[in-house]
Amino acid sequence: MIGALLMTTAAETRTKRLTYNRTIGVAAMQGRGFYYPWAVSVAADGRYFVLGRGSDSDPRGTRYTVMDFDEQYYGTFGAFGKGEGQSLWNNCTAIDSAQQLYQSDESLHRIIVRNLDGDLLDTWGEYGSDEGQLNGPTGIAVTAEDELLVVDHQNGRIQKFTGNGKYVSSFGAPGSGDGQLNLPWGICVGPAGDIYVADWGNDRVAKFSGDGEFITNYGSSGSGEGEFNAPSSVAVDDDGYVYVADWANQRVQVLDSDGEFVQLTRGESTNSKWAEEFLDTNVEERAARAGANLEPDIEFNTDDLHEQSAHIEKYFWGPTHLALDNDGHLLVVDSNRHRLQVFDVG
Amino acid sequence: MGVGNYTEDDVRECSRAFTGWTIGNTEYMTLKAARDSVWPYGRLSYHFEYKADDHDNGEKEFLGRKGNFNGEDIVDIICEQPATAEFLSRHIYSFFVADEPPVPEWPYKPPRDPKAIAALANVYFESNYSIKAMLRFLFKSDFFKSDEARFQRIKGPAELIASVMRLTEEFGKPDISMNPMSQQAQFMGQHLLSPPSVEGWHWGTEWIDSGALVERVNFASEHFGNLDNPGVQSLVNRILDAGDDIAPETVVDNALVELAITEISDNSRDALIEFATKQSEIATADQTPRERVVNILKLAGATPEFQRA
Repeated sequence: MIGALLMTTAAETRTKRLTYNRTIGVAAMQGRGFYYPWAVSVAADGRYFVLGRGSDSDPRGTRYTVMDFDEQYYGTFGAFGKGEGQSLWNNCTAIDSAQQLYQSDESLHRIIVRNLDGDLLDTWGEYGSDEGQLNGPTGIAVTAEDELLVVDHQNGRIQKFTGNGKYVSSFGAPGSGDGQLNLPWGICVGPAGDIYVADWGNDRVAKFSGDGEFITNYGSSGSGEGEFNAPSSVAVDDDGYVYVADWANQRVQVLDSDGEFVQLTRGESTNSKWAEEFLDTNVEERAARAGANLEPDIEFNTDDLHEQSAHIEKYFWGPTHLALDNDGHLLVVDSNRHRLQVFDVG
Repeated sequence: MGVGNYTEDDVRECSRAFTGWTIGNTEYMTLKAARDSVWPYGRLSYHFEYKADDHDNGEKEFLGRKGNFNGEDIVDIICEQPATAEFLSRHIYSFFVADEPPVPEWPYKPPRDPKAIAALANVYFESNYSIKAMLRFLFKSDFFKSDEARFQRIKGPAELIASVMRLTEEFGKPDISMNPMSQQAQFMGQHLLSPPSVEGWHWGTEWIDSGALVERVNFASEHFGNLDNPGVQSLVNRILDAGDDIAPETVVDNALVELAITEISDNSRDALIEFATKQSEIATADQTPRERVVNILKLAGATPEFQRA
């Protein structure tokens, strides 16, 4: 797929890969909306299953919200707790070819399996560092063989399981050398079956073969183009373009299949359909908001991009997860802003 | 600056100087705050805005100085006051060295160590009002490192909780189970991030009243008393390093070392030894030596020495 051309200030010619399309969702402690969404998975029928982290002060956000690209709402399920089917620290979600829905719980060190109606099918995983045990599972992804890759965050490795939790294999070890991982977070499988890991603590993306053989690293520490600061998630499209949620840099970067920088965006959020409906019924807030400058020119006394994102509403603020849907969109889970920013790919 | 160093007129003139200083997007931010609104997309951090049209450009008189002051001028004038230097110095001394009297008594009670306060105030002026320079001076000073400064501060609730949790090793990484700890601080009189007034909390002996003391002792006792805590297991292992049959006096002294109680009154130590001795005399078959050590740790957590830093 050939991308549109983008002229830069340096008079370079680059491929623009992402074009902002829309924003989805609205803050909602319960029901329709999200409260600290953390990840999203896309079903074969196109529905989005947005997994909420919630907050310690209001755990009602610890739930799935189900909707689609047009913000048609299908309901919620899941709850905060240690009981059956409940979770404490949701981290990631994935769907296999049989349309089984997986979610990782970073606090209870386990994987919950449901059908798309939210019915509990299975729960597996136990705390530890031995083979098959987990310590703070974060990112998850499904392989072409319908096996589940689990980022074993605190153990600094990736483990592969069958869908019902039987251990298959493992690769990676704590460290900063090639093939080593430092508190890895996100994971995805590329079109050729290669595995990409957002190596959070090493500020890079690590690429492995489907068998776990180290191939290469992309990026290094920093805030320049192609550099990362604690990346949280990675997605790869059918053309091999690599999308990285550059979490502490509060942006999303695009690399080509060779790892070369292509594009970055800080976010361009506009009001979603649900946000508009909220403002329709809260006319005082709509009026006050209309008179506000949501992109104020502020002289920040820090280089911390977190501060900028806390002030400028359209920017990403804590992008935790990326996913590609079935219709050529990149979904950016914009966690602290309780929304998804959606970009056209290509 | 502290009460008594300015007048009501100064306060009024000061407020005139800050006219025009406001938050950006005033109407929207005010409405969001009033409604506690996180909609549609979460909180927006406040940002500063200066509205020149709203500023009072008339002459003001503040702390004996006259001029068309703006906010920055007020800050400069406050920084130049000797009272500011002493106020900051006493706060820093009280936080890091030894408890000063409660702040409301400062106009009437001299500093505990006037030379130290004067030295800190001097650094404040010589460094052009640098808190960093004051702290560097303090940490290198003799009065900070002297024996007289040891255990002369009542631990604040947050400090007490942290000191217990570090010993019991219940805190490793951020975890949801730690949330109740903030409530414990509240029970002891410190609602974290929500001091009772702009003056902050009253530190020192004001942390201790009959209700708060019970909470403090119970908290330490509960956590030292749980042998499932990895830190408690380590403490007991080290205390009984020479074997389960060591003398009660040795057990107590080992426990004091492990709890970093390096100085203790005879009263406190004698009470602990008496308890340890009686406990060993009436030991029952279902109480292990390790459990008896835990009981000593629980009681040691109640000593005045552990409640201090």
